[in-house]
Amino acid sequence: MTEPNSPRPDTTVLRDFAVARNTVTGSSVRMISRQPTAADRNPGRHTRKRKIIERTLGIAFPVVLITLWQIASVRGWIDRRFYPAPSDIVAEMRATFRNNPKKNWWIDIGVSVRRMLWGYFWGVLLGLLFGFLLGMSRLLRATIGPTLNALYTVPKLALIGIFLIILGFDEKPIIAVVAVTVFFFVWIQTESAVVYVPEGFREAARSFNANRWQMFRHVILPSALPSIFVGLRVAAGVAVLTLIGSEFVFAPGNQGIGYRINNARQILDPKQAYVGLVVAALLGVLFIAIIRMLGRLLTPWAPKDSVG
Amino acid sequence: MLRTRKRLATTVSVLAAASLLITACGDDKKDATPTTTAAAPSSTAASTDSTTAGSGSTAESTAGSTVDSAASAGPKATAKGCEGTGATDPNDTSVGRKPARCEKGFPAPQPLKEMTTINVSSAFKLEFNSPLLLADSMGELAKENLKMNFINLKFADAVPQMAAGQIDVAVGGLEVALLAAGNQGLPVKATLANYFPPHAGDYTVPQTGLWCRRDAFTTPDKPNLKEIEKMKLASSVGRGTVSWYYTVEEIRRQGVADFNMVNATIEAIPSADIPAALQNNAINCGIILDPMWLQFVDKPEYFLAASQTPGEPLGIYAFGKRLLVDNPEIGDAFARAFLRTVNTYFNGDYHKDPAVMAKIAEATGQNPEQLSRVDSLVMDWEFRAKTTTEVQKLFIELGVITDWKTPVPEDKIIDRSFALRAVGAG
Repeated sequence: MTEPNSPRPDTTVLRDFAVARNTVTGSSVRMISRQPTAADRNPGRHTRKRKIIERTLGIAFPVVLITLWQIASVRGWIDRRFYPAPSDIVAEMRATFRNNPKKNWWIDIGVSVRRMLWGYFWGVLLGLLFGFLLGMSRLLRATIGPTLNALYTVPKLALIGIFLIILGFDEKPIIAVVAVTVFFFVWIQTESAVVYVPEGFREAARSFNANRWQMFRHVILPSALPSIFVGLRVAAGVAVLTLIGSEFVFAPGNQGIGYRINNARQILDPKQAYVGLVVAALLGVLFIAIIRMLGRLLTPWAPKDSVG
Repeated sequence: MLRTRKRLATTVSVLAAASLLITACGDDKKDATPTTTAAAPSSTAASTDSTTAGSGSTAESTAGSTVDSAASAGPKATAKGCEGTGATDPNDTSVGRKPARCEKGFPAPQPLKEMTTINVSSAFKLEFNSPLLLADSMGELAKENLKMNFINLKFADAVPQMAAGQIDVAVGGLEVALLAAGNQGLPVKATLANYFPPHAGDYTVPQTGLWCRRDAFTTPDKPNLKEIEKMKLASSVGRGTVSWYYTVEEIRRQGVADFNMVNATIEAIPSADIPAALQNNAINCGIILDPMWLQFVDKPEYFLAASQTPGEPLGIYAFGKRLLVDNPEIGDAFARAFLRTVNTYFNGDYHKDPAVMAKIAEATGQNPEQLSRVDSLVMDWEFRAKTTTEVQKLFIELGVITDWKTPVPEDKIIDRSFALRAVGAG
């Protein structure tokens, strides 16, 4: 029953109101009738339509942004020499990857991907380990949690100098910086996912006399995995960011996408710098998409949006 | 109703995107290059009837004045206080060359009509750019009716901003970004040089330069510098630093006439970490800056293989579009203030002047003891004639510059006119 002064219900759902008299008690009651929406009448058609709209908007938004950028550049609203138009960048990319052996980006991309994957691998491994351990043990959480929280806020790029001295002047410091950054994102998300497994799930498992391994395998892991994949996806993007930033500071062998971007800035070659930015962005998109796909494959029970 | 609204929104979005696309396909031939129509600046510094400049009270004890030692050839300075000594022959690259100087407090200020703010960028606040910092803190800029807005920015990132007129002055070096700006015809030029080390070229005095491990050479007691050609080296920016220019020049000057670095492996390592890389044998040689080389002074297993070239400043103050093209009178005012600061506070061994050191310490955030651990720099606002060409040749040889094959003429990279007008030689 609706209170007389209560706010009017959502008009998109509740279409009609009627006042009827209760024949038994004689009091008047408010009847609510709900009319079917388009989604109710033809759910399949509605879903298809919504998908088309979503996809169109997803494509239209970047297209509009790029178009605005192109306009600003060709109209001279921004200086095309330093902020090249998208068409200039595409032409530069074509020239770079096709014609110019001295600007062979494939080697740099390969080097960067290798560094990123190693860093991501170690970061994820340690992040999952700490996340599960701390998530499942209140005592460990109380012991290690505050320290990890304090370390989390340390700017990771500032650690490069320390890692250079500890690990040597080769690939390891870069991999370590990526790993440390990834670790924190994975650890936090995993711990949180494990802690927030509904108590009812655990209770049900306990009623079946599940042991610790069974509790982990059949309750905690399936329940937490979708949320963990969100963390892995965020960490994938962060791995690319950190890698490029690290290669700005230190790039063994003068190789890597970050080195290329930084070098292009140093030699006042903005088109090459933008090629690097596009390559980095594509790398990030691809990497995140792979993690997202893995998430969907490994957690088919999860709502689609929860793993991206 | 809702459906109608959705349709309307979709229609509007599609129309907006279509109109943007149509506009984007419009005229793309509009030239974004700024016009360079400003007339050559008038000579504003030649008059000598100015009142005596406030020289400040801290310069009385500066030692070793070089005012008497200007070169006899080259442009003749005529401004009051700079007569005969305010400019030197740019072709003079002799060891022990004395820089141009005016008397303390000169060139005299000629304030602009109204207070003008200039945007000045530098990645550092260090001793080498302390003339700029003291020009501000000691009021020399204010005497010209100039106010400085300091921006912390790397030189390469400042170049586009200078070309756009957003940054007026940038502290940097003879870097590829500057050379590329010259090659591209951008309104960005080096107008004032900064300094050279007092003992450059003297290998009995430890200093900034290329330091090597002796055990990297086949005969550690008497290292053959030719072997550096195939070694693993490091600088903070990799190949594209002017440090390799002085390395090549100095090793050739030490007797290895055919020395080149084409086959050397050059790494980019943060400057603070290069000493550790050298000690850990991660590199054979590295460019080690002030005061980090001090840790190698008493260690015979390391030695200085190349110092900066003597008498040749390699750092710069560059002017952007506003000072070069739009309002050169502001550039002249800045140049006068800068030269006057050097003449007043940085003449000779300024490390012996506690008042100046206190001001430098305040401006740079270091303490005077730290600063005094190394020798006074020789501040020098003049460029040598050969420098830009030789630096470009090396960068082309090393593959750092790939967009042009022969050096860009010096006048596209350097504009000496501001300094020359300031001393009455323009």
